[in-house]
Amino acid sequence: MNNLSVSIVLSLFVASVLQIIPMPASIDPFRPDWVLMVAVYWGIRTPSRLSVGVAGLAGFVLDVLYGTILGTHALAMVVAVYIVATNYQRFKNYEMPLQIAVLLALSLVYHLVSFTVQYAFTGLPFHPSYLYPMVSTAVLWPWSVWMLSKLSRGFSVS
Amino acid sequence: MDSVFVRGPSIHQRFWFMVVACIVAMLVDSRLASAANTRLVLNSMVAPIQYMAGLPSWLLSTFSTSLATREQLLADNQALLQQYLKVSGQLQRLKSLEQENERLRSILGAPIRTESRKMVAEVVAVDNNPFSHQVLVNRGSLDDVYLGQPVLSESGVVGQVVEVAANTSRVLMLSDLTHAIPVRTERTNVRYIASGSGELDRLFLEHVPHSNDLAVGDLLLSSGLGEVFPDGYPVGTVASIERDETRPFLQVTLTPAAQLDRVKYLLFIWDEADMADE
Repeated sequence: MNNLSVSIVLSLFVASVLQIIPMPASIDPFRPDWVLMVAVYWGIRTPSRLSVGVAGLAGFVLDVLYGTILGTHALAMVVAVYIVATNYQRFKNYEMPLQIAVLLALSLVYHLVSFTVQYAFTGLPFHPSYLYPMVSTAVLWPWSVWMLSKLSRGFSVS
Repeated sequence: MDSVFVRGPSIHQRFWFMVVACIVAMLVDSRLASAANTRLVLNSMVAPIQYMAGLPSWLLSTFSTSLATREQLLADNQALLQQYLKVSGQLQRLKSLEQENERLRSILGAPIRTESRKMVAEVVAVDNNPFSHQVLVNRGSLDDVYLGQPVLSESGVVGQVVEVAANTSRVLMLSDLTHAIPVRTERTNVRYIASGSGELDRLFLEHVPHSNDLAVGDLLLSSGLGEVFPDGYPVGTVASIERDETRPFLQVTLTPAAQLDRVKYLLFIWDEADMADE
């Protein structure tokens, strides 16, 4: 297994753990979308090879962890990562504030798609707190990029 | 470095393939009952992630219990002893009531209800989807947990098992939007259905005609119809009744008997009558 796969799997593992680790009920609605951020990072690092597949797989893992119908979070991840991976050259050259704004939009798309699928299958009522993670995701994007590039440099990934 | 010329399907083809795969997975998972077996395998595969996520709170609770002061332990001990004595007293009365019940049933020719098997399980401290009310429990198929098994807490019905893995299982709580349980009032024995509202502290009573005799504070028990939950366990008490003549039914809300927002220890029961049929 080459260094790239190891770093992708490791980063997704840590992101999944962070995504489901218990938090106090007051902070929980603001939990950032760790797995989405990691998938977006790998989406712009290796766009032509792995992005969408990695996102779909990570989404399926999230579905199993959350107990939702298989495919809800997978579809949301795939759509969000596709949007950024098809424009990866432009995105990579954006300054950080613009990247943060894009992450805000991606997180919105991710949550709206996963909500729509769950609404289609279970008739869930919408609550604005479902979108609170957008803010924390966008704010933590720079830090995640820094951590992930340290990780891949540590594994000497090209 | 990515080579300039890439072999294999383009990202757009991959995208549409994944979209189709997701939609197929959704349809299969929601329609086919056989998908439950796949879930068992998948749940066991993500067990390492759940284990890691539960580690910090497990460490904290282990630390706090081993650092408890002597005074605190003595006080806890006393309180538990008192509660034990009280419960033993109630149990003695229950035993004599059970015997009387058996005698009456045999006189009437009705089938005698046997003692059902019970097992205590602990809720694993793992976060779940904020949309649905499910908890992960540390017992699974290796402990004979089965799909649709009823689950109680010390004060009432909590829900039923919806997914089983080797060492863990998922319990869907009464308050979830997609859950409904057949109930009957203790006072009048009229049958209703209590469905989840999406909020942990409320259940809705469905299809209650305006003429029905219900009062705030009435206790509702599980009725045993539907053959999932056994008869006679507390589900909730009536919290409010809205009489709106323009609507076809009364709007009745219940407060669940079990404290669904702080379940820690759960009781799994096996309905012996059910097992005998299989």
